[in-house]
Amino acid sequence: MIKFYLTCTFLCAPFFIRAQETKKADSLFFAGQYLQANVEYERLLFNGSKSINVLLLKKSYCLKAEAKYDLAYNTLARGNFFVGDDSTQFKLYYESALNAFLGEKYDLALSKIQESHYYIPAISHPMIDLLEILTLNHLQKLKDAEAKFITFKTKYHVDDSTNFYMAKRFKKLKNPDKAESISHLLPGVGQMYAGYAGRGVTSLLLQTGMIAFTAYSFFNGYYFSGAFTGVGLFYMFNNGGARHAQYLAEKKNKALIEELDTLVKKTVSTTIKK
Amino acid sequence: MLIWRLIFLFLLVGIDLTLQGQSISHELKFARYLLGKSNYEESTYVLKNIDSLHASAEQRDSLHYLLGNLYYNQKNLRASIRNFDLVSSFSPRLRSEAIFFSSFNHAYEKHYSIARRKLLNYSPRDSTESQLRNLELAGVSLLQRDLKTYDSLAVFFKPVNYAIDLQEKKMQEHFARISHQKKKSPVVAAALSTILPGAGKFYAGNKGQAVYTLLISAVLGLQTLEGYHKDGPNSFRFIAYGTLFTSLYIGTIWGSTFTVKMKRDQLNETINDQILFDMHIPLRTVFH
Repeated sequence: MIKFYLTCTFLCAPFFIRAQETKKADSLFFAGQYLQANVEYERLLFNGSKSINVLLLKKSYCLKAEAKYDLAYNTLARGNFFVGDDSTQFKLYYESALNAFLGEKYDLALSKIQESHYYIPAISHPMIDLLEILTLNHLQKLKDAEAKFITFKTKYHVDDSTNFYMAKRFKKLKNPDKAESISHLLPGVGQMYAGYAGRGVTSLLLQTGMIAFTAYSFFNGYYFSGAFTGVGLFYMFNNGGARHAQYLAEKKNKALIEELDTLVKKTVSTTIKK
Repeated sequence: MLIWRLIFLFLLVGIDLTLQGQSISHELKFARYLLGKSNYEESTYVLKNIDSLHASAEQRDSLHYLLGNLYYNQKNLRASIRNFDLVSSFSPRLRSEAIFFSSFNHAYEKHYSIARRKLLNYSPRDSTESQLRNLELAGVSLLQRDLKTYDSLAVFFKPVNYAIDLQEKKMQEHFARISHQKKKSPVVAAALSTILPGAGKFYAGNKGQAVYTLLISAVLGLQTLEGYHKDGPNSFRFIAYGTLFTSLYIGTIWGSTFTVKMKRDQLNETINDQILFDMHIPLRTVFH
């Protein structure tokens, strides 16, 4: 949903740039013929058009519309971020960051946003500020994201005093490595820590069963069965359980970040619509 | 009056054809530019939209040559071959490259006899091409494991061309590797695994799997033995562990025969990949 939302926003902006030379390509784009439009924009570049940055931006919209975010990012990288008016430069930075974000390259997205703040401080737009908050969420830098969220609300006069980042579940995300380590020492507890109590209990019961089988075998003189079947299976379940706990912690974090994204977007959507 | 009209019509047709020709040349240049930027999808789109009916023979050759290259880069070898084969002798330079690449594509697709035939039917334009053809033919012979033919071609390997010399040496190394390849028997592997579980896999060259199999067999064997000594031959423990052990034991013997074949195929595949790589390098160096 977030991808769709961000893809649609800003999509049309550069098409308002009055340029007769891009008329054919623009009409192809609006007709949804993205490959053809892409070729026509590139043809203009090949023919030596001077509006390089604008054409690359438009090319990137075609690629973004086809969900080719990496290609769109690489296309924008061909542009010169230091020439042209501030508005076009800003769009280059914003689109680069957005495509990196949509391509799940959050480090790159953040770096482009920061470059934009540094090189063109005069321009600020709620969309890039929102993108920065969402990127920081995905990088799990929640303290920074919270600070940006508060700044956003002050800067754009958002009438909502709620701070989701203060909620207990967002205060501290699960640590997947910690979940794994705990599960090695205390079977099932890693899963419980990740927020999946039922799975934790199942894992605990299975591993306790293996220990009981080992003890039973040893007490009755079945040393090989105890050592190989009991200990062997316990070892396998313990390792598998720990890995599962790690996976569950990652899954939980992802769900929390998505929930946080939705809440942030709901709060700022009115400002952006304005 | 009629004569003037005819002259006017003739001039009009002439101008139209010239403009069409120029437009096609421009499109070909544009497609080449896109290809250079690795924009394969866009380049293919541009080339496919060229009206080849109004193109000159040279332009058609360029068109098929570029399409051949595009498909080659996209690993669509059949389409690449189809287009390379359409390059005519009107464009000798493009045709020679197209033939070599088409033949290489056939070799990659394991159509060795077609690859060989294409090279044999081609008359090299100079000594470099002649040496390159010889190297490619030698490569195809090695891929076919036709060592006699390879020997007859290797006689012509001469260290006179920097672009091909290294690959000629590499071909000799591949030849030596193929010649000294030990032929392992699946029957011996099965016999060895019967005596000691996993030994057949060790013989086949899969040492890690051999140790693992031996370990698992020992673990199950010891538990079977324990069940037999403590609970007797009719006990559930003995039957359960015994069944597991027997299944593994028989499976290991059966698996050892396959391991020999699998290892042989793996080795051949590796050698073939290296041969193809050494056939490909000089093509790039000579033509690009």
